[in-house]
Amino acid sequence: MAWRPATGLNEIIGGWQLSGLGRWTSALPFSVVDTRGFTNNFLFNDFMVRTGPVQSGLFHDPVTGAPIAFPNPVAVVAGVSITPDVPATLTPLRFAHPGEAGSRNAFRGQGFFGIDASLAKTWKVNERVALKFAWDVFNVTNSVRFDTNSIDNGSDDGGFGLYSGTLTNPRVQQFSLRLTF
Amino acid sequence: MLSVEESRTTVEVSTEAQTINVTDATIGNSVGNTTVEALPMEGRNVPDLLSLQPGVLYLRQKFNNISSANRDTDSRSGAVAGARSDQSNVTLDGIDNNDQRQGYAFTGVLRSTLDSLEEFRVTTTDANADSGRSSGAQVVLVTKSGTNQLHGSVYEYNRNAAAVANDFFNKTAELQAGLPNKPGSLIRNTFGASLGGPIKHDKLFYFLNYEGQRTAENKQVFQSVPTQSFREGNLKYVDTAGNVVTLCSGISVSSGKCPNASPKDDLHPKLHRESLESETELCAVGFRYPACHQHNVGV
Repeated sequence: MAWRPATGLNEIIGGWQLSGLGRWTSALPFSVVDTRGFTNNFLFNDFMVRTGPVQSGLFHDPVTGAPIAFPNPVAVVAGVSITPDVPATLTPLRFAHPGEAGSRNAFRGQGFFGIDASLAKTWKVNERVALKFAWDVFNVTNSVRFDTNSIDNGSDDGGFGLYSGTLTNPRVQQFSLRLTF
Repeated sequence: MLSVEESRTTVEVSTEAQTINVTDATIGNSVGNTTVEALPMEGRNVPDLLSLQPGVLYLRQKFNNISSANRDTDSRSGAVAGARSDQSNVTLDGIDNNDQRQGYAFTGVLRSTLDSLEEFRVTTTDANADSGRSSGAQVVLVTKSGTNQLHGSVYEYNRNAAAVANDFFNKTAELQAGLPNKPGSLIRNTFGASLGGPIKHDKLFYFLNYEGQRTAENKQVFQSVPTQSFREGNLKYVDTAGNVVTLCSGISVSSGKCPNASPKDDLHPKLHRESLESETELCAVGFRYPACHQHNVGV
């Protein structure tokens, strides 16, 4: 090193270590459940079958701004309307026929993303003893990724398509001191 | 004619894991104690190291709010190369360390601390017969041993509310209710000490580690609550024409409110329950989005 700071200064600004972990996954899947009938199994509802293109991921309700999995959840289940005088078009979703299991995991929501970082410095007290200070930040970017598991996925549900939970935790910071010998 | 040639043998001594495995088909890595202590480990939970392997789905440990997915109870967390989390096999010094009741990849039944860990080895796929008894990850934890020298550590990890961000849904609910953007309380102190040394030189050693954790964290919940109108004693229903009608005992309701209704009016339990089941009485402060949100209501 060409330039060495004075001893006292080095204790403060020298020798900091940065380490980190990043985790990033592709989007997790989810299904839409037919809440109206039990075509195959008298205990569990079947999954809906996709018959046309459906866009999924993260969208926001135009009125409330709430996170939703479809750009227009009402349109997704409009094909199975039971409103009087409105014929069921069976598109873009229809019920599973008897004998069908339906489309499991037909849609994708969001994946996990998170960066954890640690900034640490070790002071040598003497030959044997060292003191380490570390500042850990979990989810540095404070990113929010919504959980496909939390989507209200029942075809007749009032809040159909709404996310109610996150995959990620909010940003948390941790400070630590470690004396080793 | 004789020439002088230099003869040199290079011996490489390495404590690092092999980068290319040419002996068998296993895929996985080992992580040593130095790496473990340098990384930011949330919760200081040892099996979390599994998440550093390719092919592993990791969801975080649940934090102090209801809305985030939980590493420990979500069966998606710990899925390794497609194998479900309950197919993982966690061993501690060769002994079965699986939580048989829960069966999740990131929780061993014996809690082991980061400081007591010498090595973490994992095979994510194609485990050999010596480790594999299931199709998921084979997690091998090796505890530290004492040495001829006296070694030890004293440590303290602190998290506090001053440095925490708010949960998305909690923040939204607070802002919509006109409250300040305030995250939940979080005070977590993890502290401990370890000591290792010889009892009989080169023959017998000891290693001790104590770790404690004290937490003061609150939990945020969303509850469905009666609307302001309902709390004032108004009972509403949807009639056949689709109009929302306020029910009163034969008195004009032009004001939109029942006469003489007390805000603390304790309704008849049956009426109370029935009206709670009606969408018109509840502003959806429930586990749905905390706004009173109208889409699809009335289906």
